[in-house]
Amino acid sequence: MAQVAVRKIRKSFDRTDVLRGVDLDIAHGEFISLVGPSGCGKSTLLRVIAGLETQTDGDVLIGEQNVNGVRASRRDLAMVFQSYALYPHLSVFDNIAVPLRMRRLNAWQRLPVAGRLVPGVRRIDREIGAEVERVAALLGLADLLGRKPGQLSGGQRQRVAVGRAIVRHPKAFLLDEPLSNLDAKLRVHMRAEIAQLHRRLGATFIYVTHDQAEAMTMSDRIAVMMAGNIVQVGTPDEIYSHPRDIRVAEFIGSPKINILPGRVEAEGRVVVLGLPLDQRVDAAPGTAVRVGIRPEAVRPTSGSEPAWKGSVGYVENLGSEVFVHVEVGGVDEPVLVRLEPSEARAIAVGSPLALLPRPSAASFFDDRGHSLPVRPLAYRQAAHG
Amino acid sequence: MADVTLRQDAAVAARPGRRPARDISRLREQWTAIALSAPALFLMALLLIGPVAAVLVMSFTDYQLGASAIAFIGLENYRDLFSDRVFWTSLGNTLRYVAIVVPASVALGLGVALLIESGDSLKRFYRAVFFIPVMATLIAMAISWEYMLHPQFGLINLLLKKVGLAPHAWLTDPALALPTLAVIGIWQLFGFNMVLFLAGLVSIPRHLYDAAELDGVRSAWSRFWLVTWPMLGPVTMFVVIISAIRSFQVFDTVQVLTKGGPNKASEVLLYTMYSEGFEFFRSGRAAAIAVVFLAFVLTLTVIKARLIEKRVHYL
Amino acid sequence: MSIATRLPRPAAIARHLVLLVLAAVTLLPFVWMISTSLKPQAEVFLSEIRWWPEKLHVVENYTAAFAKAPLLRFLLNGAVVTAAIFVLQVAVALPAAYALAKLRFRGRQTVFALVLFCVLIPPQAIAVPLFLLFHQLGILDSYAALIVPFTISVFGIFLMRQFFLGVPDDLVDAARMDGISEVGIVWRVMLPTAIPAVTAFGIFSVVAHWNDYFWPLIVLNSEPLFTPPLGVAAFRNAEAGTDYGPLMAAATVIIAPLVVAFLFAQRRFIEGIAFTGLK
Repeated sequence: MAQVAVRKIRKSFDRTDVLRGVDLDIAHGEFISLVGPSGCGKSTLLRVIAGLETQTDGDVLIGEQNVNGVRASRRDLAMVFQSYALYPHLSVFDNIAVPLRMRRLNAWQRLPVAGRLVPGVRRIDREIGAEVERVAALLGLADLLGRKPGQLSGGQRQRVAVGRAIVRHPKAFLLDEPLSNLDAKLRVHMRAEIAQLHRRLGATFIYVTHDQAEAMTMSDRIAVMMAGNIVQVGTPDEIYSHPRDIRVAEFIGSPKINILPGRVEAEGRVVVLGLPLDQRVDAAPGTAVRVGIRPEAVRPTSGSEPAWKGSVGYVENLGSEVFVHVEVGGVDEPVLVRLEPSEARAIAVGSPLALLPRPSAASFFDDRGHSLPVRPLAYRQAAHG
Repeated sequence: MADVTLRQDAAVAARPGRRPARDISRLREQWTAIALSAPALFLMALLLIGPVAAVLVMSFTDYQLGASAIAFIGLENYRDLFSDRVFWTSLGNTLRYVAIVVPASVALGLGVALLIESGDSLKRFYRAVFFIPVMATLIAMAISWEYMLHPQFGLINLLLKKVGLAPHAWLTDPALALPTLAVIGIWQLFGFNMVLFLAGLVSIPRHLYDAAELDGVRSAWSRFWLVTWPMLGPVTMFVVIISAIRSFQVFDTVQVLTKGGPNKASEVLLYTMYSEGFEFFRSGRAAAIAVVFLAFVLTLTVIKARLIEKRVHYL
Repeated sequence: MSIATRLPRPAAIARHLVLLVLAAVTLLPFVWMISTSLKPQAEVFLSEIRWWPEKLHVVENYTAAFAKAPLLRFLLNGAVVTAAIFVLQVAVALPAAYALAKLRFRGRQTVFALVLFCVLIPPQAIAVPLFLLFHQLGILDSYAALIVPFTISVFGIFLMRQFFLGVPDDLVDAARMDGISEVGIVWRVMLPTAIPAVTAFGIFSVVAHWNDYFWPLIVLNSEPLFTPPLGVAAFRNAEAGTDYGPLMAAATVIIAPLVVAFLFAQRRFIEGIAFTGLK
């Protein structure tokens, strides 16, 4: 059962189409990331789900209910904003309490002094207070409840924004680039915290980010968006290892995947820069294909077997790993190889280096960028039969 | 390192009269700065600081324009002033004027700004219309108001008659003169306040409204009290002070329309100072009034300066 | 889209209704002024409301206005005085602002403190000593009397300094490397970067001094020197409630330059006045 679903969502601002017919089903309790380069429409999709923008066409379903035309405040969702959007004049306590006060007290009961005279308000206030304190304890904000947002660090503000979202039990949590305003170290730390929070709450999280590493590390599934469409939805592993589109292959993974020119020969065998690979594709002989091979799937070889011959152009030593840029004839971009430091010790700039791909590690894309189905060598007879 | 420094020092010492290059460029910068600010400093001294000092000094003298003698009479001018009914009427009228114009022009400015920002259409048109009175020469408009307020042929009374209400002698009725001037003051000022509020409204982060919506805020009323009003707080204080300073300086309409009358009913501080200083040429006494005026405006301005410093307090 | 959600239709209509009524009230003095300036005397003194005259007296009223008072002369005086004030203000304030923002010199704190103090002084409060000073100098009742007190705009210094603080020091250093003198830097480097601030200040200055009534009233006697507000007030005193058609025509002529300029460059005017008002 889908907790949140969108069907054929289109959204245009003036004449530009920001979303061009997006379909997505998000299961209850799932952590899904919408990831893509800036301008791909991921934030707009999130705001359409939230009800902050109205789609030009298509349906949004929350808990199987069509919520088209239902305003954001009635969709029972919570959101963490990129800028945190904390009320600067309210204390941390009050910021977290706002969603509860707005829902449990009416305008009269919320009046500063007079409201407290209404019967029952004191009790509700006490309940709200208890819940705020529970959330604050969970997020380590207990000592900061009296402070104003202006007196908090970026990380603390971020936690308050999360607290304001989780103090209720909404149908889903929407997070719009919540970590992008934090410094690199804190960002990595908060990733872990948010992932743990998701596990503890067991709630549906829809997480927008442009940072593929965030998406990879936190999500159950990732939806990669490009130019207003979802190009691929899958687990991080699927997305990484079996990209369905060359743009996905290039967007996911750091450093970037190597893209090499190849040609299909007899029986779907692919030859890349003179080297036949061990995989076969469903394509007519003579077809030009683009072949994606991850940097860790390329190995240096000292043997005499056929290999890509090149020379080392540049060595990036990050300490824990080493990226070797190898200039190979027939490609403009150097081929990137990821090595353990121990493997890279002998490699010097300018020296020749022969490279081989690991078995069954390449992805193949046609001239439109779509991935081509791959048949491992061993199954070739069966597949043809 | 230390060696090099030592040798440099030795070199400087060896050539007496030559300063190190650093000092020369410092000195040049010093003189450039003084030369560039000299005209401004001279004019400030002559036209602002000098006169402020002079006004203080004069307020302790019996100076009259054209008089051959001048004597220090201590606090005499102030004693006179504070025992003069006209002065107290004048001060009281000024404060009453401020007390009418400030809340009304601030509330109207805020209300109009909120209404304009709550929709999309005709925003520029409304903004321009409400701003025109701020631009238009007040004296010319005062003359137009005077004709509109004419007891017999004025548009206001004609309109009142049309709906069956009694006409009034707006500018010659002692009970109405000051409030009528205040209405003109409000008319002239609220567009200015509106523009300041519009700037304040635009600078409220959009995300706060989004957040409020997701927090379950449904009515415009709740949204106003949760987001708009607190975020406008600093701007509002600021607008109040600016309006107070501006309305404290009311003069043009009084001078043209009522001359402080009838029977001092619209006598205001600047008008009193003007008639003492430039109609009766009792300069000492006018200076004393100027000092009182200055005290009020300075207090307000200092509050304003404090507010500007405090404006960052949310961030 | 402005404050959060879109207004429902009835609310949108109510918004226009309220705003249109307020706009009508706001414009009433202008409408009535212009309407009266078109009317023959017979239609001015009526006991009924007549928005549009039966007999148009445009030419008569406006020629009468220009004949009875030297309106063109008033407008010219206004233009000369406001232009001179603005040019001198910039000439004095810009170098000082540059020095305060970009040069290190002993006494800078003191100079800036003086500027801040002077910003606090309302011009009316020092009118008496200034009047006496000008009396001593014998320059009362002259263009000089109208212009000199406003040649120093401490507010302008303050504003320009704030603006220059935001100009990167590198720009100044680069100009020095190119061999431009300090005075050259002020006028050929800083002034062009400060055009938006100077424009805003200019609008503020021109509006303030075109409309100023207090100071010209004090120092002027001779009609040929009158600025527009003084001129229209004198016209009214001379006519004293008899001939409203030409009087309203004169008032219309006096407010026209600024109002027309405003309608053509609304954004600049509003920015100029709001931005200078907020600082």
